[in-house]
Amino acid sequence: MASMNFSDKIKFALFINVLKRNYILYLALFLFIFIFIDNKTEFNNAKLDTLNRSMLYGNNHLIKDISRLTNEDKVQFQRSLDYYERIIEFMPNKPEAYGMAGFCSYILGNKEKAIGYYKRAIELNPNFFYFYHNLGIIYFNEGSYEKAVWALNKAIQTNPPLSLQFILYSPRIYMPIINLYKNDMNPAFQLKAAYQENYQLLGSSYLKLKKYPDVIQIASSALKAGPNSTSFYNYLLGVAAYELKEYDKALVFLKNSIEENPENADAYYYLGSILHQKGNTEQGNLLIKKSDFIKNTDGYSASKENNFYLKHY
Amino acid sequence: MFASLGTRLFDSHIMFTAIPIIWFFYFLTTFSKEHRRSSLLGMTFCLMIILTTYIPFYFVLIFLSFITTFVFIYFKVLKRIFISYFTFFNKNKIFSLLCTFALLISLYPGYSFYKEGKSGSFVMPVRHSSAESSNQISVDIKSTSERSITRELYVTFLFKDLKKIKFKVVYFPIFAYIILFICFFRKTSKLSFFLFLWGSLIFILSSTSLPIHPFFYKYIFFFKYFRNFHFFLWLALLPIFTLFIAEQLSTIINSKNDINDQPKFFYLYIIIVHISFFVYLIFSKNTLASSYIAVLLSFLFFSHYFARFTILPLSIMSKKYSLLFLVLAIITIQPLEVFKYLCMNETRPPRKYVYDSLPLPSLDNSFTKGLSRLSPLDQNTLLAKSSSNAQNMYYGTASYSHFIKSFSINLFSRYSHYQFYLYDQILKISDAKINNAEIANSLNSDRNLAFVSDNASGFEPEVPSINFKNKAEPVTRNSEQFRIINFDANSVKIETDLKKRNFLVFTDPFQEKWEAFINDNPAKLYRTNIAFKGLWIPEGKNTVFLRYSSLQDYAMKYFLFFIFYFCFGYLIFLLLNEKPKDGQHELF
Repeated sequence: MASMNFSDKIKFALFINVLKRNYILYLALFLFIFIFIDNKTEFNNAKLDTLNRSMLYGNNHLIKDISRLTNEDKVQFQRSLDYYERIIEFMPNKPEAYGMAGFCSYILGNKEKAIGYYKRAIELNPNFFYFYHNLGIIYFNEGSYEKAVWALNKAIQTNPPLSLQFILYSPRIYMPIINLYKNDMNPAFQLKAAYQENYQLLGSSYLKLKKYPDVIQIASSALKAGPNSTSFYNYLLGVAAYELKEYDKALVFLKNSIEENPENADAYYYLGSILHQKGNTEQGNLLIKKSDFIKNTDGYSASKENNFYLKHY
Repeated sequence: MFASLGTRLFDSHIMFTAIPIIWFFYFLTTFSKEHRRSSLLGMTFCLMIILTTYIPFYFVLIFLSFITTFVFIYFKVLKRIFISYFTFFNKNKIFSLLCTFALLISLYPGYSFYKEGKSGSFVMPVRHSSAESSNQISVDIKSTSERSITRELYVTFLFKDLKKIKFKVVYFPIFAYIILFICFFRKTSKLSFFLFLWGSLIFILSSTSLPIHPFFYKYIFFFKYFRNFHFFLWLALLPIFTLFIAEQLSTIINSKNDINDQPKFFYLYIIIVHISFFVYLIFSKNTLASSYIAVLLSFLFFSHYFARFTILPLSIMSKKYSLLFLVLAIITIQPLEVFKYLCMNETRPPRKYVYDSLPLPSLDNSFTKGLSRLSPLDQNTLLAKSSSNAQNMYYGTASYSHFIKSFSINLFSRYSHYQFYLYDQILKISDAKINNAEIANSLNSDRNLAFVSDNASGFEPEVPSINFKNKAEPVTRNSEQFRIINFDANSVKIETDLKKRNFLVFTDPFQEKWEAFINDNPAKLYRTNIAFKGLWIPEGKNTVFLRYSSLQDYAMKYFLFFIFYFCFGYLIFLLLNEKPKDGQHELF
């Protein structure tokens, strides 16, 4: 009996020895939190909190002229990218987060990542203009004109009211950016301007691909829609007509283009070439010289270097 | 202890509460050890600060949980402690009484604030909107549950990439985790157990995500006055955790002899822990370089401490100093880099200070507020209520809140542009039957009629006007009839010489504590035009004096200032002059 009591005492002492360890404290705390707290709700709330705290204090860098971004702006873009990637991590079905992440990635020079984000954004919302438009710009700038044509065509097939609605119903991502603009730059105006630019890009892409009937169709559609400026579309029609050897039509279109934009060097060149074809060599040479002259001016070099820029959507 | 506040180190309301609490516990500890007057006075002074700044109930909960846990763990020493306290108080009766008196008197501001909250003279809609208690200071349970400690800890987990750290995110240095793991299998010391239990009790009491929280809210009266329970994480749990880690480290260091009986297993365990941390850091994304360095230095520290030989790079110093150097390096290196990223991530774009963008208002302008008066409002704007503004107000007078609930905030701005109006006639109104449209139109058009709330039963017929002007006169400058002698936030003194009796309206929000005197005789101050102050001024020469609160109140507050400064000064004197027990000065 005495030996049993003694062994019980030893067992008890060992048991207490095991319990009087730090891991018991940690285990008790863990179990308490696991059993008594609704951890799923708390974790979801924590995610929202994290997103709110990750928001940047200012978004002005997002609406700045992209050709004038400084190093400090690029740092801000990296922070914005971190923020949008966090939204994607916590809310993987938010297309606008992918869109903005694509925009920031492209500004930071990561083209492949940007394309990936825009493609995912399109999967989630195939009816938003800007995802296709921006993707088209990326493809156009890198010279992938077939892909650009696909994206830009998809863009003009989207429904503008739906695109506008998508922007206005994004209180956390798009609206803080929209609210930075003054009244004359509301989303509707921006969308209209973007649609016009989209047509220009599409026409230019078809031109690069030498698909002249498509150039004519796009430029004609754009002119029918009543754009702010007709010079570029007249130029496209003129070049397409020239390539299809319809020189009389080409003359008319190119003259109309030059009337509105006298600095269009290529239009002068094509006009000169047409006159050559028609046997008016002297006049043709004059126009080609004019074209060379315009190309050698500083203003022309600067304007030619302008790429098409992504929109912050 | 202050550094444990981490990323909230410079957050004002945290510092208001944390600093006196930390000092209180310091003085409590020294008083319990050595029974000095300076320690008792220190405790008293800290309590006085706690009772007069922010919400003292944070301290009450922390202290009560401390006492409960202390009694539970150290019950054997309680008798000795009480006897020693009693002996001290017996020997220092007058001093103890004076400390008690100072403490009791410092309850006055908090108590008067509580009373005002109960009377409803101010409102706090953001906190209070649907609270059960009628006291304006109380917070509805929904507001208290907006934030919880577990939520803050999950946010810490989600911010594990320390390069993206932000303000108010809890940060634990990696060395803390290393110590926790090294001590994982070690015996729990009594002090560790005490700290763990104390922290757990605070966690249970302050965690709004626990099902028991509504019970505490209902039955513990001061739970209704907290809005930010998650502050306990910063005020109590982080410092307690820091003490817990320090105690864990202390147990390892002090048990060197036990460890040396089985050195190989312990060395192996230390190596495994550090390698595991290294591997974890490698697999984590965007890890700071200082995290790796901290792990390496930690390994050097433990191996240097327990090794029988001195590690070569540290052999130029004695072991004691080399260990001190290592500890200092470990505890500073990672926080330095983390706080660098905190600064970068929390840099706000520079904003113009508001006074830089507007012409400076004249400092000598007692007659108007703002640069210009709004034009008369159209009917739609006039009758629009500013209920959302009222709901979003954090703190304001009840009269102002009442006004913007019933009328447009633009009307308030327009009317209160002029500080003083003189009316020829008044109309008594009852709060139960207010004709909002009539009052709004009257204020908008500067009609010569002031609406006085005097608990009247209904509208009295308007006094037919005899030679009264249609428009009320705003006072725009000093003149023989009306001259401002003194104007500051708490008082206004005016000399008048009116040709007839007029009703003066001062467009500062009405509050019951304001007092009025005419020629040093008390005069009745009315709530006028819903939210403002008004009183009759007789014809002829008079001196009108308006003052916020009574002379007794001012005297009490000046007396409190004196008590505070005296206590602080005397505390410094005692700390410098009391002989320390070990021959070392208290402050060094």
